[in-house]
Amino acid sequence: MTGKIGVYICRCGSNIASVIDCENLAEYALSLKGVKVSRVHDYICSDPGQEIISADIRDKHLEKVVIAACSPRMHETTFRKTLEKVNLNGYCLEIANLREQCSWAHPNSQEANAKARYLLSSAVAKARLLQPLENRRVPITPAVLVVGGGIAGIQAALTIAKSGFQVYLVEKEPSLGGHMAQLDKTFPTLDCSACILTPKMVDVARNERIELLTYSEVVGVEGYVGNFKVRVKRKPRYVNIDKCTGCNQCAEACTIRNVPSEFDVGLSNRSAIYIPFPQAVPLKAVIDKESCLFFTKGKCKQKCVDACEVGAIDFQEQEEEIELEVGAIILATGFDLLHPAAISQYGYGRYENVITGLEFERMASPNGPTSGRIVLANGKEPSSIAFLHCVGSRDENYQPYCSRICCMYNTKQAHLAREKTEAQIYQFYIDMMAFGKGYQEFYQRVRDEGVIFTRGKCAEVVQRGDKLRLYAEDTLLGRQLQVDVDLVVLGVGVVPRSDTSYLARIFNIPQDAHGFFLEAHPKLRPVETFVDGIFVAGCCQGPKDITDTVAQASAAAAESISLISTGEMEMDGITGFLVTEKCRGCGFCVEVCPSSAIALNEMTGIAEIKEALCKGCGACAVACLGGALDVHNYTDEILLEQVKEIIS
Amino acid sequence: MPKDNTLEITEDKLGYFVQELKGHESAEKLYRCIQCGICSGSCPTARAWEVTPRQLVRMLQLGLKEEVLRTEVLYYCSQCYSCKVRCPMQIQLTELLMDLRRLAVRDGVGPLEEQEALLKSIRNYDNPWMQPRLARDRWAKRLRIKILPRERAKVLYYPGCTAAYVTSVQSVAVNTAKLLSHLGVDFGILGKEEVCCGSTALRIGERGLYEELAARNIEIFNRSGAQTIITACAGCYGIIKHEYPKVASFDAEILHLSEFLHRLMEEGRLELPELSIRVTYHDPCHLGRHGGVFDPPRGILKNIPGLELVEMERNRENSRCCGAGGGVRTAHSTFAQNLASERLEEAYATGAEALITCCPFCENNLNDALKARGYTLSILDLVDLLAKVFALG
Repeated sequence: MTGKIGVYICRCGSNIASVIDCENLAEYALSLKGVKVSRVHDYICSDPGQEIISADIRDKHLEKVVIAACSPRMHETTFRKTLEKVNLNGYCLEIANLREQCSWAHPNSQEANAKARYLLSSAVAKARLLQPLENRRVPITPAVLVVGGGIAGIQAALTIAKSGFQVYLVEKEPSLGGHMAQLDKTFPTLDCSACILTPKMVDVARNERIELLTYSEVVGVEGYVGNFKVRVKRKPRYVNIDKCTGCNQCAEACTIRNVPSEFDVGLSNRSAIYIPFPQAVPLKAVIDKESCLFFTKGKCKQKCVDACEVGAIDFQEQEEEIELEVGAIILATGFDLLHPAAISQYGYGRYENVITGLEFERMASPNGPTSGRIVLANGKEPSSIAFLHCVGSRDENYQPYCSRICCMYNTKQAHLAREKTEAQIYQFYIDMMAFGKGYQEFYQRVRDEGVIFTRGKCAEVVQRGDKLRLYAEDTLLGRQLQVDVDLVVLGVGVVPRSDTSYLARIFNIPQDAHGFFLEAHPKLRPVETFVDGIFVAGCCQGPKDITDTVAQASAAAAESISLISTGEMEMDGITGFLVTEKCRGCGFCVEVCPSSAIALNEMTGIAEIKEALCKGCGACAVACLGGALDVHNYTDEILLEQVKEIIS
Repeated sequence: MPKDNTLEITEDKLGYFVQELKGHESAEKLYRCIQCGICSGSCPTARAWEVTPRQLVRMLQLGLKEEVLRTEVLYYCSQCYSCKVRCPMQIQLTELLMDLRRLAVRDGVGPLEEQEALLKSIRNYDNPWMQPRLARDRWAKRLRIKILPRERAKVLYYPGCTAAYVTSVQSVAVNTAKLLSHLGVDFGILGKEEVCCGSTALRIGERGLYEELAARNIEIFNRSGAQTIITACAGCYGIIKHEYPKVASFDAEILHLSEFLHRLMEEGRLELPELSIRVTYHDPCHLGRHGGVFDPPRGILKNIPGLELVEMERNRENSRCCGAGGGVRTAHSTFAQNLASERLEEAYATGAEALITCCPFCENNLNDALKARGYTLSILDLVDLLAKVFALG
């Protein structure tokens, strides 16, 4: 049953036509077995292009269609629909990739034209043997997992919950908040960061459709779009959060008081039992096992137990693992800041008055270690401050990309320093990236406030007496520059979180060249990943400010909702199939199947494919020694026919 | 008539330097420059240049030949590699300067008059110090050292011109030989056959002369049969390690003396006697930033019982140049002294009794500045210090 075949060759403007002689190829197509009609069009994916195919199917009673155009990733769905509109099964379509795999890859037109013939003839050979198939429909679990409880995760969780769906929000740390909770004010509006974030954190905790899992980590993912099974490890807090009232008496009673505070980036100390920060959600204590004497030494006066009026402390609490079922996943795992000690010329770690932007932020914050005062290591107010831009960003020795937030946070911090001190303030920048709404105006405002913006990357910081001497070129004047200041603030850039690779493995999604999670398309699919049903939001996908993070989180929420709200999902009809009489029940296929779609039937002893789980990857077909397994429309018979066509 | 300062960009000029430097790595990333100025800010000599290093790169992009190929622009660079190691775009500015000087020499613009005499000496006597060839191994006279390739040895010690000829730092050569003997190392020297490594010639733009010297040395290195070449001079080391392989291949491994000794130490073959002293260490540019050797000299110092090593504010990758390199000391001796003097200030501030370094050329320059400064600080090569430690007298 060869069937009548129509061949449609796309010029793709000049993308294909500039290399491939399409008319000649069309003529060649007519010589191939089964081809009844062959045509060339400028843009076969356009409405008129599709109309030509439809008309031929109707009028010439075509049974198979071969399209020689761009990658099937682009338009396979488009053309399947074209076929189905005129009642031809969508799987009676084969696409030869003349663009990505031919005209773009081979500028030498003679070789490209020869290859085009091979691609086309093998596609026609396949078309001759194509079978009509049906799409599968599988139900979707109407719930979403959000990983990461910073502003991105919070925004996504609230949006999804608002639409009526269940959300599981998993946060690694004991409290929600992420980096945004550590900031004093946000650019360019100078909103108090905590004041705009805290209400959202509280909303999450109060929302009955959000199950908040703090101090928890995802440790495994199985399943596929619409039906993920996620294993989550819940770390023991050693505090019963149902009983704990967040009164902080335990922390005040604890004998260990010198643990560097994570929230204050080491600028203050906390106790071994502690509440991460005053606005923490949940506002519950947690015991840090690494520091607590009960765990490190095995003996402790347990003053926290005495201080706790509600008896919430429980040293016996155990780690547990739970399983969640969700239809979609949003990764919002955030970022790390570049550690500037590697950039030795700036003296971070060597000079105590060289600090990072985040350390400055904690100092500027009213709930920070200095209650909002900007001070030097000796407690005195600085009389001059320098802010350095591009510390580790736009630098091939560290991170080649622009971190997008530093220009503006440096500028904002200059404003805060201006407000809080009498200091003279310098900025050392290369280019000002003030691209967002209201950013240029804010930059202008800070210039008006008398901050000296110097165009030139700071070369080094050297202690000279009790001052720090900065060396640079004033590139606007072309002169060597030396400035002595009291405090140097390093505008360190955004880098992928240290556990990004680990998470990428767990969720089986790719990372980009710099290590961030890779989106499916930088412009048109910015929140999707290459795994259906897994989305990204915030800085885990690349550096961005809060404005863009919130927008992206809302987009990821919308994509998740649009996926799970349909209730069921159509899946490709191309799956593996079993010829039962050939199966000897060896189980190799069960081992190689990445989707856990094959099992041995206990009764019959032979393999059984769970169609809903099968992705049609073909691993089983390769592994099967008896030739019992094959994939619809990718059978050995078809593949051999294609090879034969090419080598004949 | 007021001068018209308009810059006219002409398309035929734009690619001039890219064309001229074709095939040279130094020009590969020229157009990536984002004009951040970290090169200028890091440069110890830029204050004297007619344009800053950053501006120079811009002029190269625009092909401003007449404005670039000028001694006032090209001949203050001390070849210290500070710009190169910090450049966020990894532009090889130090090598670029070398190549630009080559163009300047070709066009009859460079080198500087003061450098001519030095080049003439290299051409005539195979050393820049205007000393006869026959005097090259005079320092070794009473030491009974094997002469390769006539005799055979596993290790070849290549002292270089400064340690071989300049009386004030000749102790580096003498003490290196004594130390190697003391440690039982089977070594020899090239005697009168050794010629200048060519570093200075290359760095001031005489590439032809440099390549001739390099080829001669490589030929005799190969003929010597030595497996390891040791040098106690940072300048020789950097050039032999990174530039010689571009001229011709040679089989032996090149090590700086500090690396060689550090290796012996790690193998447990170097037991260091005690010496109670507080020292600081000056990284020679061509050993540190160019050669990548920062730890071995420090490792040796730290293993001398009783010795306290205090670092200067600027050390390792950030170490400040003494000001002598790249022909600067030859042409602008006062300027080189001023730079050395600034470096000494940092050394003095550490409270050290001695400044230790690993380059006779640095030592020479720093010593001259010391006389003018009058600091109570002694400047010693690492090997001179070790001679003291081992009482090799």
